[in-house]
Amino acid sequence: MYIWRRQSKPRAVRIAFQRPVSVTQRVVLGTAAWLIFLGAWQYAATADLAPQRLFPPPTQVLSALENLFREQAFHADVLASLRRVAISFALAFAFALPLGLFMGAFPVVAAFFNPLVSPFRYLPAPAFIPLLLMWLGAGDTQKIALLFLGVVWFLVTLIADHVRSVRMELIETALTLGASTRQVLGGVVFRASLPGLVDIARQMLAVSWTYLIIAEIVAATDGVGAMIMRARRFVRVDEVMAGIVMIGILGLLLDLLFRLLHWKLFPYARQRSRKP
Amino acid sequence: MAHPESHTSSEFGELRIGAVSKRYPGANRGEPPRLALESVSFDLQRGAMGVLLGPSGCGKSTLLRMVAGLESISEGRITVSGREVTGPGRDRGMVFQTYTSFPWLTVEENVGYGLRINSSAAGRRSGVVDYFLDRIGLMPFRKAYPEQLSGGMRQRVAIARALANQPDILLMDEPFGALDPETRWQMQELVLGIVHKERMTVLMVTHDIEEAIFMGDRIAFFSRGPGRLLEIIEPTFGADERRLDKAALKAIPDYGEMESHILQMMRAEGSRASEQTA
Repeated sequence: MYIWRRQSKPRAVRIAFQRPVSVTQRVVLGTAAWLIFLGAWQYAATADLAPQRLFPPPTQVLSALENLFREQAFHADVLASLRRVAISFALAFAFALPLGLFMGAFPVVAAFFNPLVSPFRYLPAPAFIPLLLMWLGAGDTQKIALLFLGVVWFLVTLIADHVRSVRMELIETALTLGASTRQVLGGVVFRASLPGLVDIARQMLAVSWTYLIIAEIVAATDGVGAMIMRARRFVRVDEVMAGIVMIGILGLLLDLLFRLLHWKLFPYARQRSRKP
Repeated sequence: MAHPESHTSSEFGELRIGAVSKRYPGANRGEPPRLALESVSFDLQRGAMGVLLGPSGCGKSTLLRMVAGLESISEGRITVSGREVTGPGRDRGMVFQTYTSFPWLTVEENVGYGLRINSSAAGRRSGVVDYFLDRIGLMPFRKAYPEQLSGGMRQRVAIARALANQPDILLMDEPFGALDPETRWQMQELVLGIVHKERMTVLMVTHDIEEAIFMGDRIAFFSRGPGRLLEIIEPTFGADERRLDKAALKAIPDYGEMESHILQMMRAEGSRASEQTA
């Protein structure tokens, strides 16, 4: 006990509450976490704890992924999945943006739509699959509709909440400078919310990805999810895992893309994030 | 709309507050409405600096917001340059206590915002923006974003933005309240300098007695519960004399008398309020 205290005293600040971490520390710690994870996986898979066919090591998953692209035209599946997410998300955002903007800016609009939109969020999108199958068939329309339903109500609520948080003083300043209602809505309320809207899109896109796999597991012939189901039938665990890894990589890339977009579009928001 | 040519020049920049009251509906059903301001009358001539002074909760900010058109008027009538106030408009520019620079616009874009939305020609616009950027001393920071500026600088941007829009009257709600004393003092002198040069009518809310005497041509002192105009104080010593600087102001014998008079009223209001709540 005594020894522990003496050692920890000068070093105790290392994990103090809210203490910022330097870039180097962040890279080292992040890399270490991955190395430990992959090492443990590799060890567990090669130590004969389970049959290797059911639990392949990361190296095998990686080569399966490579093989998928080289010999099974996996890129077509990836593109099909990306297309579904892109179309459905664009539609959902285009629907949610005006609704959320008006709900956030005008309480009277929110009072009308909120009782409708709020309960919708609690209806699980996958529960609509049988309905969508009957109405729209097993094609792309049904999948896009499912992805749309999966995110649209959350988008409306998140956008409305964010728009509502625009400071009243900014709106009143614009009004006393002679701005019309339209100018305040577009030039101040929307403009002030914009960085937050990009963040909301980035986060909800991750949710859209989770629904994608559900959509593609049901009656799909192409897409990453369909490939995973195909591989499962032949007990190709390495390919199933390669599919999951691919989803992770795509999600990460999209996340990075949106962060880059945020950085490029909103130079004024950079200083704030740089401050500790 | 708010062009100086569109009305008689004799009324331009004149503020008339005539027997104005403000009533808020009761919070619950059946509760009587709450009277926040009771029959306040106050006038300002063009180029005059009016100060609304009083303890917190006396309704001085409410009155300012009514002039801005941001609060409805329950009774009475407010006119600026002869036109009745019915809502916010560019003829009444406002500076708030909190920072209101648009974070997505640079300093010069902020200052030019009013002219841009009122579709003023780009050439004339940049001339006006340059003039006011120079007046507030932020020329070197014209391309900076507000986030990079200090609090005093951001408040200067807000003042320049309001003035560049060429209002008939400038309204300021405790504009220096969030600033440290040294910056505050600099800002008071800066604003006085600009406002006098432009012959701008100004109505300002403050609870700082020294600031009120230093800046105000007409000081309206309010009591609270409900807000009433107790007294209009016009500093007897001349404006030129007063506005040399703070040290010169305090050296004037009448200054001390006026300050202690206002301070006594402020104290009386304070003790009255504590009796009411007790």
